[in-house]
Order: sequence, then structure tokens, then C-alpha cells
Amino acid sequence: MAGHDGVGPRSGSERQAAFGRLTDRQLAASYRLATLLLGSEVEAQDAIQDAALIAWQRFASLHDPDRFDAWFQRIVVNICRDRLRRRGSVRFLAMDGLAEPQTPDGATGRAEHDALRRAVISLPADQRTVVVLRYFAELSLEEIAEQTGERLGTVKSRLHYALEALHAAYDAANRLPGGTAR
Amino acid sequence: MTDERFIPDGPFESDLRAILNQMAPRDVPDQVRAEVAEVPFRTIQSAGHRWLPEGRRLAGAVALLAIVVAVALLAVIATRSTAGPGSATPTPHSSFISGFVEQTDGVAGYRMLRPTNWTALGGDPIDGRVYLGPGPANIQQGIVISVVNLKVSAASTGSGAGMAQWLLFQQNSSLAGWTSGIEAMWARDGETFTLLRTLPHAKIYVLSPAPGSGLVFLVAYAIDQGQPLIVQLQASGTEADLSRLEAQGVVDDFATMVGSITAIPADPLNVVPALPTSGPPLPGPS
Repeated sequence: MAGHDGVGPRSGSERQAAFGRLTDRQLAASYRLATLLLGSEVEAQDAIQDAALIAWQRFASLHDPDRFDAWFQRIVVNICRDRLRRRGSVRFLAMDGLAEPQTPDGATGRAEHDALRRAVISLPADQRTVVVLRYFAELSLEEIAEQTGERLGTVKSRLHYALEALHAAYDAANRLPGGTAR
Repeated sequence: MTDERFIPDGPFESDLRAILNQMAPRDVPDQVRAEVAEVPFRTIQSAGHRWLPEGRRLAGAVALLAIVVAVALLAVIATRSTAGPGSATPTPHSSFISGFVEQTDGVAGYRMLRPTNWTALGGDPIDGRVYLGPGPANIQQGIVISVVNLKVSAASTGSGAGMAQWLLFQQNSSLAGWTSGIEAMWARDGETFTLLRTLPHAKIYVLSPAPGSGLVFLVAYAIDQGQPLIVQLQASGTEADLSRLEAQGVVDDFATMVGSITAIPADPLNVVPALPTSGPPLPGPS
């Protein structure tokens, strides 16, 4: 890396090409993650574009290309969290379509699945973020703390309360006649 | 890395993972993929450097630059022709802001003094416009301002039926009535808020999320020409301190911006000065 002030090739066009390759590789995972965090594909599309813009502006400061995926994901998470915070001023009450099951045949899932889906959507944004990063992005608690800039204790606490709420919904559905009580 | 991710799943964890996977979209829309691919060629300025697109994009970049310069010149001429002795652009108090420029943003439906040295993001009718303050890329540390015209936003979402503030405005479209409804909503939600300033056409509140969250919000609700506008400043990390924001002059500068805001009709082509993230992408590679 001697002589370089950032990742990848030195020339502008080579840097553009490298950025394109790296973002393309990461795009699907980031888009899915953003949709879950924001609860809206429309918002996720905007968030991903903003994240790409910031990533490009800071691309020269990324010294290790192997860190690109985690670095870009962190930008996406921050953009999404910023959008969620802004809902404090512009509050959206509905979440487009994510409450509906997306099973391949369109069939409704088990009662527990439906309850769990609704419970995930109903979680406060900070708790949903931790759940999504833990069970969808498969990050460790330490990695979640790093990605969100929160203290480890805060992450643990949010996950605890989120899982408590999710468990309650899941167990309640499990006890219903349509549930698969185990 | 820790071992906790390798703890065997129970039925609940397994179902939770399955649900999240079902909820996430399977494919990235082609439009998103194309727009992200364009980003390196659309960015005009970054971190004090000037990135000029290269190769086949150069002609498009030169054309864009010419348009930007022409628009800027027209804006200067228009400003000089209308500016009277008492209408000089205010000087910022905060070191975060190098100067103010009057931004006409037909994408989001507002005109307002905004910081010249901040990075514009977003730019859509629903979410409005975002300005990212100077400093680290990390949004967890710094200041971000967002601007939304709720009438434009509601029209773009169809009816705006899901937007709490729009519904409250429809119930009472006076500044006092609208903000009273919002205050009641915050009180119900357990939000901690304080009215910071009252301007002729706007009220500025400070919202303090949970202690330790590292966030402070200044939220302004303004009404102009019967249209509700929201300007929000989010301060994070070390900046999330109201006393510090006041001492640095950030609150005064925010009030200056809020005091200058007016509503304008939605018109995506009416963005002056041009913002780097707005407008159609440059022509792609041939």
C-alpha cells in the first residue's frame, strides 16, 4: 500500500471500477438488510443510494479492501438508523407490505410465524435493528455494538427486551388452536 | 468473533431467522443497481477534493459543469437584482457553517438558507432533503439537518394517510393547533420535549431521547402558504449536548434557517443551486 492514501488502484477510473465491483458484490445483502431495518423497500432503495454516495466519498480513506463489506454495511446501518431517527419528526404509521407473508406459494404460514412477523414489525426501531443484525446479518453482539456505535451493554439490553417481546408473541400463538404447540 | 452465534438454534430462533429471510426482498431492483453503479460518476465534490469523472464521462461532466455554472450565475444575478439593503445573507454563528446560501429545492418543495459547506443527500419528495454536516463520515458523530414539506410528501405517498404529523395538520392547520396536537402525541409516546423558540411562522423544539442514547434533536414546525414544513437537526455523539449546541451558535444558525424557510411548489427541475445528488444521472457508457 506504500504510496497509496486509500484502497485499490491509484487512477480515478480504476478506483471507480474497483468501487463498482465491491458495491455490486455487497449490494443484494445490503439492500435486504436495509429493507428489514427500515421496514420499507422504497425507503431501503433511497438508503442504499445514500450509502453508496457516502461510501464513494470516503472510499479513498479505506485502506484494506478486505474490510469493504463490513465498512459498507456499517454505512448502510448508520444511514438506516438515521432515517429511523428522523421518523421522530416525520412519523410513518404503516410499513409497506412487510407484514404479509412472502411464502413462495402465497400461503399463510403457521400461526407462530404470523405472530412473529407482526411482532418483529412492531418492535421499537432500536430493538428491531439489533434483532435484524443478530438473526439476519448474523453478527455477534460485539460486532453489533461496533456497527451501531452503541455500548455492548446497550445492545444486550435491547436484544433481551426484543426477544422477550418476540417470545411472548410466539408462545401466545403457539398456544392457540392453530398453533403447533410443541 | 464470539461463540454465541454458534449456539444451536431452538425452534424459536430457527423460526425467527426464517421469518426475517422471508421478509427481506429477494432481488435488488434493476433501477437501484443502475443508480448505485452511477454514483462514482455523479459525485462532484468529496472531502475537499474535486473528482472529475474520466474517460467517456468527461464530455457529460463538462456539460454538467457548464449547466451548474450557468445556473449559479443566474442565481447570483437574480439575487443581486432583488436584494435590498436589508436582505443581506446572514453570517453564521457556528464554525460548522462556512456560510449560508439560499437553496431552492423543488424536489422537496421548500426554499431555505442552508449551509454552503454541507453535503446534500437524499432529495426525494417523501423524505425531503438531508444535509450532512462536515466532519467524520459517521452519522453517529456529527450534525445532520433534514427538511420536509409535508404537503409535497403526503401527495407523493398518495394520501399521506400514514403520516402522523400530516394527519394532525389536517385536523388543525394553525401553527398553534398543529403543534398542540404534536405535543400531545409526544406526551402520549413518553417523549421528552421542550419548546425552545417561537418564530413568527414556526416553533422550534428540542427532543431528548433516552439518556445515554447520544442524540439530541432540534425539530422545527413551520407553516408557510398553508403548507406544513418540518426542519430537523440531529446532533450525535459529542455534539449531542444542547448547551454545547447553544454555545457553539448551532441553535442560532438553526433558527436562522428555520426563519428563512418558505414552501414552494413541487418541481424536480427547480433546484437552484444544483445539488450533487439530484437530477438525472449522466449518460452511461456507450
